Amino acid sequence: MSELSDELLVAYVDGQLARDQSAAVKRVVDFDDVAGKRVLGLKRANARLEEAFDAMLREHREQTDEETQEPSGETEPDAGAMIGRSSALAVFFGAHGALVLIAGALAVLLLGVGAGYLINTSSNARVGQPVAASSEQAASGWRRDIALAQGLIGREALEVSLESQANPDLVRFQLAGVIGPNVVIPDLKPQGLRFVRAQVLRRSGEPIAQISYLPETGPPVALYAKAQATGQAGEGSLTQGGVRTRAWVHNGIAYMLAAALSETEMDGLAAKIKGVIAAP
Amino acid sequence: MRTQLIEMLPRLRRFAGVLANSAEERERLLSTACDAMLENAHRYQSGAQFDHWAFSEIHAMWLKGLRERDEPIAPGPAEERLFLPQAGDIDGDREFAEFLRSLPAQQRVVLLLIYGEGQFYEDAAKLLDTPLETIARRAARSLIAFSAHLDGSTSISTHEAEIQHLYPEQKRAPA
Repeated sequence: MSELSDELLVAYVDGQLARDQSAAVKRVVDFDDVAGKRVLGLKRANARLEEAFDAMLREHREQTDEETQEPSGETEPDAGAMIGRSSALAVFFGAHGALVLIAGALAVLLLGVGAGYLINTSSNARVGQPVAASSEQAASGWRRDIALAQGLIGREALEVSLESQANPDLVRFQLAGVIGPNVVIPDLKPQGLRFVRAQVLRRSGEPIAQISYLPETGPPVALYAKAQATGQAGEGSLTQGGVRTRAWVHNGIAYMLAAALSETEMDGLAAKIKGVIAAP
Repeated sequence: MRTQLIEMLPRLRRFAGVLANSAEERERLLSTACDAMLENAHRYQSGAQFDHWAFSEIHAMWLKGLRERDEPIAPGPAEERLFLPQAGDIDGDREFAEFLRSLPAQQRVVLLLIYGEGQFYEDAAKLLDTPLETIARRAARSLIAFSAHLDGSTSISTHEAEIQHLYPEQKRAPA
C-alpha cells in the first residue's frame, strides 16, 4: 500500500519536486506496484493535458493570424480592435515568433544531445530547476517538437554521416523491436527519395523512430514513427519554421512526414507513402 | 507594450478562455484586459516577466467582474466549443473539452498554467495571488480527476463544479 499522498504523486509527475525529493519518490514508486500504476495513469493524463492545451493554442494562433491579416471593419472581434491595429507589428510578430521558436529548438537540441537525447521534455526541464523554461516550449506536443528539430537537420547532417545504413530490412527489424512489430520503412525510390538512415529519438522516454531520406537535390525528408498511444490525436498537419508535417495512423503506428516542401508536394508525398505503407 | 501584447495574443486568448464561460465572455474579458494593460502600462515593472504580468492582469479583471455580479456562481458549465478545436482528433479533443467544462474556472486556470504554460506551482501561486498549497491541491485534484476521466470513471458533477466556484477548496472531486 502506498504511503505517498495524491499531492506528492502529482507534484512528482508534474516535475515540481526538487531533485532529491523526486529521487526519493521515484525509489518508492519503483518498488510499489500500486504507486507505480497510479503514476503511469497520472503521466498519461499529464501528457494528454499538455497536448490538448497545445491544440487550443494552435487554434488561437490561427485565429489571431487570420484576424491580423484581414482588413478591419468586420463585425468579428479582431486583434487590431483589441490592441490597436498595426500590420508592421503583425509582421514583426511573425518573424520574431519564428526566431524565438528556432532559438528554443536549438537550445532543446543542444540540451538533448548533451543528455543523450535529441528531444528534451517540459516535465524533465522543471525538475530541480529554479527558473521556468519558456512556457511555449513546455507546452509543445510531440509533433511540434519534431517539426522544430527537423528544421535544424540540414542536408549536410546526413551527407557527411558515417551512420548510413545500407540494409533497410535489418533496420526495420531493429526498429520493430523498439517501436512495434508493425512499423514499416517504406521504399520511396519511385518517389525519388533515397533511404539514408534510421535512428531512434526519445521524448518523455518514449521512443520515436526518425527515418531519413534524401532526394536528388533539396532538403531532406523524414518519416517519424511511434507507437500510437490511446487517446492521442492520430491525424493532423502543422507548419513550423518552414517545415510542414502530415500525420496519420496505420496498424497501431503513428506516422508523421516532415519536410520543407510546399503544401501540394507534402499532400502528394504523404498520399504516396500512405499507399506504400498500407500495401501488403 | 503593444508589440508584446500582439505577440502574446494567442496565449492571452487561451488564458481568458479558461476563465470565461462563453466565447463572447472570453473576447470581452480579453478586450477589457488589453485596454486596461495599455492604459496602466506604467504599472508594469521593467525586467518582470511580461507574460506573468499580463496573465495576472487578466485574472484580476476576471475576479473583479465576478465580484460585481449579483450572483457569483457561474451560470452553468462553460460552453464546450471554448475548449474544442475545430480540426484534429475530435474524439480525443471532446474528451478533454467535456472534462474541462465540468471544472470550475479556478481549477481550469491552474491546469492551464501548469500543463499548458509549463509554470512551476510557485509561479502559478504568485500569478494568481493564491497560496502555494491551494495551487498544489487544485493541480492534484484536477489531474487525478482527469486520469479517472480517461479511465472511464465519473468526473465531478456540474452541481459540484458550481459549488467549487464559491468554495474551491471545500469539495474534493472523486479520484
